[in-house]
Order: sequence, then C-alpha cells, then structure tokens
Amino acid sequence: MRPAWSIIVFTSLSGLGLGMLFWFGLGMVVIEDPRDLILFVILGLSAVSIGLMSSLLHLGHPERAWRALSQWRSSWLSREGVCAVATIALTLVYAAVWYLDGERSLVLGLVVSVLSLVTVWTTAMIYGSLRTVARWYHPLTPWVYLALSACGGLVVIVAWEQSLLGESGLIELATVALLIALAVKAIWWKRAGRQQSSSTPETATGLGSMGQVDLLMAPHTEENWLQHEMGFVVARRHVNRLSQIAFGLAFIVPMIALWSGIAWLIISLPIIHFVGILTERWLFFAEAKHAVTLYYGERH
Amino acid sequence: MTMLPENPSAKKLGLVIDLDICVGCHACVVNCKEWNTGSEGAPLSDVNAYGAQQTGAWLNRIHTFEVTTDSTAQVVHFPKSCLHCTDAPCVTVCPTGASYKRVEDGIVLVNEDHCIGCGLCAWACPYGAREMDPVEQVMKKCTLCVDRIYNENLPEEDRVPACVRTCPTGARAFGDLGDPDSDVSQLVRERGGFDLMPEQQTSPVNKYLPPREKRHLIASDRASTEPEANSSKPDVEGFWGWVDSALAKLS
Repeated sequence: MRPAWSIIVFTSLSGLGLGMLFWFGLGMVVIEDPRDLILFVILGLSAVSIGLMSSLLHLGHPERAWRALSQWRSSWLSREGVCAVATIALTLVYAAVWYLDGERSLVLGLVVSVLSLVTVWTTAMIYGSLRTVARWYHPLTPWVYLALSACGGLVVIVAWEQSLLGESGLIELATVALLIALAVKAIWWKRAGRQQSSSTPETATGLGSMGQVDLLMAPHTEENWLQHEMGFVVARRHVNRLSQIAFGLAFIVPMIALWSGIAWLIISLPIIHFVGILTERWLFFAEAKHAVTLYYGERH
Repeated sequence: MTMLPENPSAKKLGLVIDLDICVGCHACVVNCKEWNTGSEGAPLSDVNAYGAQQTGAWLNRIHTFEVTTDSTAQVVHFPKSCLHCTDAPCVTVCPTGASYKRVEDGIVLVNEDHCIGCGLCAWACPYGAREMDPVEQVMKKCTLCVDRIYNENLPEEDRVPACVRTCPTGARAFGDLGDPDSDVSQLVRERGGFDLMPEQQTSPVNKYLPPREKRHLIASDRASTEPEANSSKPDVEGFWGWVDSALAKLS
C-alpha cells in the first residue's frame, strides 16, 4: 500500500495524543496548578486534532468530511470519527470540571480513558478489518496500535513532568509499557508478516485448475490509480534497515534514556520516540500487499 | 446507508463473462468509458491523455493472462469490472453512506455528491473494481449501466450494459443471477461458472465461465502426461494398431 504522509501522521500523532489522554483520564499526570492542566489538555488535544486534520488532507473532498460521522453502524472509519469527536468533547468537559471544581472527576476521567482506548482501537480496525490486506487482517493489529499509543503517551508525560517538576515517578511504568509495546509489535511483525494471503493469481482469475496463471499483458501501458495506491514496492527493499530504525528509536533508545537521568535527553524523548513510530507506521503501510496486485502480475 | 440491505430482493443483476469467447479486443472497455463519460455521474476523466504517463478512471479493464502447465500454455483474456458482490465489503466500509447496494436489484452504486474521496472502499475491494476519478476526486465504479437497463427511452435491445451491447463476440451476458431459471443462471450451471477469489468471502454476483478444454491441448497433454496411454501402445502394431488407437480416440 502507498504510505501517504497524511495517513501516517494521522494514525501516529492522534495515537500519541490519545495515549496522553488515556493516562490523563486515569489521573496519572501530576497536575500541580490550573495552568498545567490547561497546558496539558492543549498539548494532548492538539496532537489528536492535528492528527485528525492531517487525515482530512487525504480526502478528495474534505469539505464533506462531516458526512463520515454517519455510518458508525458498519464502518470503522466512521466509528473512528465519532469516537475521536466524543473523546475530544469529553476531555474538554473533564478538564473544565476539574478546572472549575479544583478537583478531578473520577468518573469523567475514566470515561475519557476508555474513550481514548476505544478510539485507538477503531483507528486500527480501519486497517485491521480489511481482508484484502492479509498483513493487516490479523487479530493482533489493534493491540499493536493500543500498545504503541499507551507507551507513547507515557513517554510524553515523563518528558512533561521532567521539564516541569525536574523528575517523574512514571519512569518504571513507561519502561514496562515500552517493553510491552516492543514485544507486541515484534510478535505482530513476525506473525502478520508470515500471514500468507489465501488469494493467488490462480484464485483471482479462477483459472487455477488449468495451470499456473501469470500476467501476459497488463490492461494498459501506464500505471493506473490502483497500482499507484496499492502496488507500492519501495519499502520492501529496505525493510530490515527501516525496522531497525523503528525499533531503535521507538523503543530501545527511550528505554535506556529514561534511566539516564539526563534531563534534556528525557525531555527530547517524545521526538525520538515519535520519529521511530513514524518509521514504524510508514512500514505498516509500505510493507502491506493488497490482493488487487495479483491481477497486475504480483504473487504474494 | 452503508449497511447492506437487510431484506434484499431476490433479484441480483449481474454479468456472466465467457473466458472461452473473449478475444481481448477492449471494445467493452472503450464503450464503457464512452457511455459512462456521458452519463449521470461526473465524466470519467483522463489526465495528460495524449502525453507520457497518462492516467484516468476506467470502470472495466482487460487483463491478459498466460495459463501454463508443464506441457501446455494458453492465453486467456480476462475482462474485469465490478462484480456487484452480495457481501460487498466496499459498501460496509464507507463512512459517509455514499457507497450503497440497491435493495431492489443488488447493484452497487456510489452517490458522488456524498463521496468524500477517502478511497477506503477501493482498499476493501479485492478486485480493483473502484478507481478514484483524478479530476472529480470521487470514487467511480461500474453502475451496471443502471441508466441504460431501465431506460425506456432506449430501444429494447439497448437496455443492457454498454459492455454487453458492444461485445462483438458475445462473450458477455447480462441478466438476473438471483433467478435460477434465468438464461444467465442456466449458462452458469451448464458451463461451470465460478466466482473470483471466493476466499475473500464477498459472494460476487458476476460469474466467469472457464475456457473450454482445447483439443490440441488435450492431445498433447495425454501424450506427455499419461504414462498408461504410452505403456499400452506397443500391444499391437501396424494396421491393427492404428485401428486400435482410432477406436480408442472415438470412444
């Protein structure tokens, strides 16, 4: 699949923001005064909203995007939109009540946390529900998104606390979350990567009983939209190097650096982690093979 | 509404494509483009049509495959357009309700005014039946010429999809595949019509008819791949040997 930047930024940045809101809802972020509260909410919601706005860039008709909130009964993309809007709205309510009362509402916080997780799940299922892409159509796909989102949120919160308070009590938790995310992603990479599509040029044409099917002539001389969109092959040449970069920056470097005690390093960890996640997400798309390419001479 | 119809009509309009007859002339492709460029939706656009790297939206494409065994090779021309699946994944993924399946005849259509051009339906379709229009930025797909087949302003013989009407070899048939007694359903039964990628669980309505076994392929196949036929040969030689093999061919 073609790794479009709008989609990569959408899934990774809104995932990061939702991870922040998840821990924020659980009351895990040390908020000492109202100013910090406002600042954190702005930070978290900006990540989510910039991510969502980036997804609009992917649309042919962004002005009609509101229509995407209507089909939540069948469409994961629609559910994602509905859940994201609900999460943003309830985060604002949660923060407003907290600001005015001076006290955190446990119930509202819990709602924000659950909604954040559900939104990440729906994002993942946009891709995880597509039978046409065998690599994505795997039960672990949404868990990868959840684990990455949760550990990313923690990395940001540790950096936030480090810069405001000079220390963070979440270093152990963040390390564990990074370790879990690394494990889930590694298992996914191995399993989903091995997941063979049951579709072949033989099933695609229904001519398997006659022999082996190979493309003799394409329907046209130039690349068409389908091939442009779904026949991306560049990443497959650099998979190993890119996955090393992704794992290194997203998990390994943060896990070590969290314990370094070097303030500027810890504060810059969200950026390092995020570059790793962008690489991971780029590969998530670029490595995926779509069934339609079987009609264009590929064999998966 | 992008839920699939809860109580769909038994009527399932679709195409039956005969791979034995198709000669890959692309007439159906061209007439499809011509008709659908002038029909109700946005025109099927082309970009840089006369230069290098031209691109454009088409609703019907013909691939040509080579089918080989150890001893044979056969060319099969393979027209491909929307299969109007009973369990159409392109419909249920649509976030806006633009993509829908008609209750009354099962035709899968796109409401272009509601389409946001996200492309997810094309990702969900294993057949490559949907293409983004490069100018309008909305999803285009085969309408089964819904603006022809019910069009009483057209002479009756023209009330079939443009691809069917134009096919010079009669390789495409149109009809109700939900009716077991329809001409197309009988054709599918008689010729062993099949689904494309049944493992994708889309239950396509369109069916494909396999190429018939070619006689020269049968002969060469038997000679090279059936050891029994070879071993039984030296039994009788000369004239009676010829009679023996001639009779064997007849039966």
